[in-house]
Amino acid sequence: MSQAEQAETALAAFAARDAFGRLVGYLSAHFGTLSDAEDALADALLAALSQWPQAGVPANPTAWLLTVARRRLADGTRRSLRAEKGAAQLALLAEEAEAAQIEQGALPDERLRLLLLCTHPAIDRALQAPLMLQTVLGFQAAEIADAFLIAPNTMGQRLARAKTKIRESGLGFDVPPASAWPDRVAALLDAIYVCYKRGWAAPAGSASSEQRSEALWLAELVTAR
Amino acid sequence: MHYMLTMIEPESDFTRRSETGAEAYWAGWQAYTAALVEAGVLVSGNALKGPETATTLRILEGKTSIQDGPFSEGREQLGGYYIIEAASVDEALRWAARAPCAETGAVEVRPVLEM
Repeated sequence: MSQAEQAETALAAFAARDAFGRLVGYLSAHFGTLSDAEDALADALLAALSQWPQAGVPANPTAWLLTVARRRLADGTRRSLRAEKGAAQLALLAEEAEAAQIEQGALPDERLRLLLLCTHPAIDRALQAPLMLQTVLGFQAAEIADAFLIAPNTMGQRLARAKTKIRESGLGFDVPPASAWPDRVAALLDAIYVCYKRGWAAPAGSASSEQRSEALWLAELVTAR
Repeated sequence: MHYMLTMIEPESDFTRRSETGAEAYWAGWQAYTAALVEAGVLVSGNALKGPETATTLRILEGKTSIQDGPFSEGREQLGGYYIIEAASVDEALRWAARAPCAETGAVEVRPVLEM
C-alpha cells in the first residue's frame, strides 16, 4: 500500500468512526432495534472502508453511511411489513423526508437517548457502561474488556446478551423522568471516565484523542441537564 | 373449576427453543395445546420468552428497584402457563402429566381463586 493510500485509509477509518455513535443513535431511535441498527451500520462501514480509500471520502461521510445503512434497514422492514398496505409508500416518503434533513445538515443527535437506553435498570448495571462504550462510542469489545479487567470473550458474550435483552424484552427509547436521572447517571459517568482515560495519553488527531473529545462532549451533555 | 398449570422448564429446554431440535420442541407443545383445545378444557395460556428477557421490580422501603433477570435465579424457570377447566385437581394433574416439560422440568398445578 502506498503512502497516499495509507493516508486515505486512515482518513476513511477516522471519518467512519467519527460518525458511528451518531448514526447508531439515530438509526436505532427511529428505524429499528439497536442490534438491527448496528448490523446495518456495520455493513455500511464495510462498504465505506472498501470504497473510500479508492474513491475518496465523500463530502458528507455521515450522510453517505446513513443512506447505505438506512437502505439496508429498509430492506428488512419492507420484508416484515409486506402484508401492510401502503407500507412501501410510507417508507419511501420517510426516506425522502430524511434525505431533505441530511441535505440541511440537520440530522437529530440521538446519542443521548441511546446512552439513556443503555442505563435502563432492566440492563445489568455492570454492563451499562460497556454497552455505551460499544454502541455510542464505537469501542471494540476487546478494548472494553481491557478497561474493565474482564476476558475479551466474556465481555463479548455479555454485551451480546445485553443487546438480546434490549431487543427481546422491548426496551424503548423513552427518556426517563427527571426523578430517575440520579440513579441512571452513574453508569454514564463510568463510561465517560473510561472513554477519557483511554484518550488521555494519545497524540492529537488520533482515534484515541477523538475518544477524549467524545468523553468531554458527553461530560458537557450530562452537566447541561 | 379453573386451574393454572405453570410450566417450569430447565435451562436445556430454553436452549432447545432456538437450536437444532427446536422443531421437535415446539411440536411437542403444539400437540399438547391441541389436545387441551380438543378436550374443550383450555381457557387461556401463553408461552413466555426465556428468563434472560425478564426484568424484576420490587419496592423496598418506598424505593423502586428494577433488576435484570427473573425473580429467582435457578436452573429451572417459568416458561409458560395454561389456565384449564377441570372437575378436580386429579383431572388437572392428569393434564399436567401430559405437558412436555413434565419429564424435563416440572408442572405446578394450582386452583384459580374465584373472586
